[in-house]
Amino acid sequence: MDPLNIEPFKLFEEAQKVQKKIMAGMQVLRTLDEVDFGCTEKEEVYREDKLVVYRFRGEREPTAETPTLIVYALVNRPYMVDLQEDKSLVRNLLAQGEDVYLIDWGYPDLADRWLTLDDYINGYIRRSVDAVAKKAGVKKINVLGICQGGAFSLCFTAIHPHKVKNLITMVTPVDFHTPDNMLSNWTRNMDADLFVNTIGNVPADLMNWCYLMLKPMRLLQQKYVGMVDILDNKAELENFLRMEKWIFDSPDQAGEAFRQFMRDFYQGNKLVRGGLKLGKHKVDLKNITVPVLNIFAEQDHLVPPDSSRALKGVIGSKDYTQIAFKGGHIGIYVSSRAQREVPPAIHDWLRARA
Amino acid sequence: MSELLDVGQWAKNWEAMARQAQAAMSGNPGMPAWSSAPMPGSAWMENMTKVSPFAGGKQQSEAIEHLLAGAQGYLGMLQSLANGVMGQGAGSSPLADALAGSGFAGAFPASAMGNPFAAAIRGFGSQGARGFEQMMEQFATAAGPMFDKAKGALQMPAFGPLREKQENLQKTAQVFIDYQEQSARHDRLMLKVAEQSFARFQLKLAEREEPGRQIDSARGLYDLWVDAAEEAYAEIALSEEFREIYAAVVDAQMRVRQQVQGEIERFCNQLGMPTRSEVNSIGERLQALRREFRSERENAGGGEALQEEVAELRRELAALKAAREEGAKPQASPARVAAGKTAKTSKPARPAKRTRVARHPASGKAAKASVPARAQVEPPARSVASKPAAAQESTPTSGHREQRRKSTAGKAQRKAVAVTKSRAAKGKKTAASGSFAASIARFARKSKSTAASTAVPGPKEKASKQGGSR
Repeated sequence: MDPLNIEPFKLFEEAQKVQKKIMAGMQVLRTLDEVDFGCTEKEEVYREDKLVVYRFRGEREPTAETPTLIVYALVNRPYMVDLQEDKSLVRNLLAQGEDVYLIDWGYPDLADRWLTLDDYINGYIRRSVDAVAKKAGVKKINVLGICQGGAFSLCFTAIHPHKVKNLITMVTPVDFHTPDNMLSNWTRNMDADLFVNTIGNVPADLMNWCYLMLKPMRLLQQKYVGMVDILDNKAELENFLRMEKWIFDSPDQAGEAFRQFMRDFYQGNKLVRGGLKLGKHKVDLKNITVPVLNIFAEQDHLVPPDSSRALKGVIGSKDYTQIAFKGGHIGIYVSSRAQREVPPAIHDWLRARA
Repeated sequence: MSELLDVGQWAKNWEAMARQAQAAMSGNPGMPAWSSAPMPGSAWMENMTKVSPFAGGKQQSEAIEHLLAGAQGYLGMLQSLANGVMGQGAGSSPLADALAGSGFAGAFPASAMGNPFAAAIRGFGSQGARGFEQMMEQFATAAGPMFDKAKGALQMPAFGPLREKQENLQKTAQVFIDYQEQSARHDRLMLKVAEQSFARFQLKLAEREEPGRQIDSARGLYDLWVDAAEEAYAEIALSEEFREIYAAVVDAQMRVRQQVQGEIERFCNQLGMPTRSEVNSIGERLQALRREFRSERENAGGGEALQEEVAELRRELAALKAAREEGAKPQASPARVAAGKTAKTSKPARPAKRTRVARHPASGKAAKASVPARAQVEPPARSVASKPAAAQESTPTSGHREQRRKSTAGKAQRKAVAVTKSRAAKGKKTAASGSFAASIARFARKSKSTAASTAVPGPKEKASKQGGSR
């Protein structure tokens, strides 16, 4: 039997539908406002160079005594966790009673070219944690690290365990050498020194292009075919464009930090193999004895789930919990399932360890 | 972007096909009356073919063009299928035409996938400099053939006053050639992706031959094609071969960039202009200075290690005090035990007092350093006194901790007293550590008398507890 059974009439109907969508899209696109993001009120509590630490304000006062500081990745903007009212990890955590803070790294420029991972982790993160602890009047705080920020949070907790009460990692790469890690495969043989010495800060466009090339047909083409379907729907189109903005609104990467991340994490896999050193501090994940909640996405194409699962075997904590979320690297923040499942899971886990 | 779908042309073709379909289907009772339906295609085509089709301005025009560029694979496939159905296609089967129209013959549309990595790598130009791609194109056109002929001569040594310059030119040519070779390897690998994705697509189509699994829409066919292409691509992108070639092409490009940057810098130096290397050098030194400065400042303000040490000493002191209290009053009243939490709130008053004592004999930087450190540290007895005695005894760990504290606290006190006595005997002004030791010793001597007062909290302490001690 022929695998194609496309009726001429259906084909024309399909084409006409596309045509109508595009026509309608032309009208809708004219009515769209500038894309906005970030729906939750926040106040600045600490600032250093380009970094700002914000405290979010919910509709009610937090009931949690220990604040939670979100440490986002350097490679994207952190407003993904508070994208819009119905897609906000922050908003939902506040609703649960958590006291939520966030590090916004800003946009590094050439003045930040020589920032090392030591500067980021033992400098910026440490001082941010101190500032949050001081603001909340506590000695230890909860740290919630996301993606690359999760890897940083692991390093931070291993070096400064006395500053962290509970550690949560979300879609965090731990073992960088799992066979399904495409980014790792691409960077494994590259000359990191030659790369950074030549281009300095790594341009955001290059980073974005690399991410798109992980699934080029889906991310460069199929996604926009799907967009045709929603061209006549203003609300959905706005959501699409908001996500589009987040994807391409990326900061450049500070050269030295990138060099070390590529060399020690992607190439050396030192987070699990050992031997990682940040400044004068050795990073040994066995030093992490605080409770750890590890949340990862089962369909994550950027951070394979096995890369995150590896955390279980490398930390010293006896209180380890992991949650496998049915979704992707971004869906874990913005899907409707995520809104229902992730914040309550985090809150319940924290509450049991308050 | 010449390979992009021409949306205006697509609209014209579509309209023509729609008219033919309308004519062909008229009179067919099984089909709807196409002639009765409005033809939005006319208005659309009119809009699309206008010079400035959007009243909203150029930005929106570009937006829709970019959108359609992304969807071109699907639109091309849709058009080709329709052509096939209407007998307009060049190929013998609608499927073959659809694949050709979607760009599948090359696995990926050339604009996006001709050589995606090379495009990505070429795509980011240095600020204020020409794009890398442009530079490479010019090189390939102008100097490429010459270098190809002279390839063997590039290894020849140079002599004379201009030898450095010649050697540098040879190196430039060499890295350009190397980059071209690596790019060609990469292109060949991408061709392999094309072949494998086509093979996978055929397999996937074969799976759809079963009744009920047939593809009944252009979109279904397109999605199947995407699945096949992604699978084939992923298999190669995760391979050792790709890893090696990818690194080679990126490294080769970096060498070209570095070589060109070096040439530009040499030229700039001759003109007395600042260069990237100089700015980098300044930036590196500046960052090192900032790091050093911050470290010094943090240490001066009470470094983390110092703070921790002081906190530990205070805990030991508190344990010692508690031990003495027990010795002096072996039968502590139940009320005092119950007031454990309250007792801790009375502690903040004491560090301030000790701070004043410590500051007095000390002088210089070290003494200044000790002051804020103490001010930031938690009240000394908090960790011990905050727990009721019964609770402390209930767990084996807390019992051990208490025992350890007692023994270390005794040592610490003896040591502190010894240091103080020794310095006093020498008649020296106490240094920072000495002054702190002296304060600890003094505090230890006073602890017996002050302990009694901590048992009963005053109104001030109560208030501080209610409001949070920090």
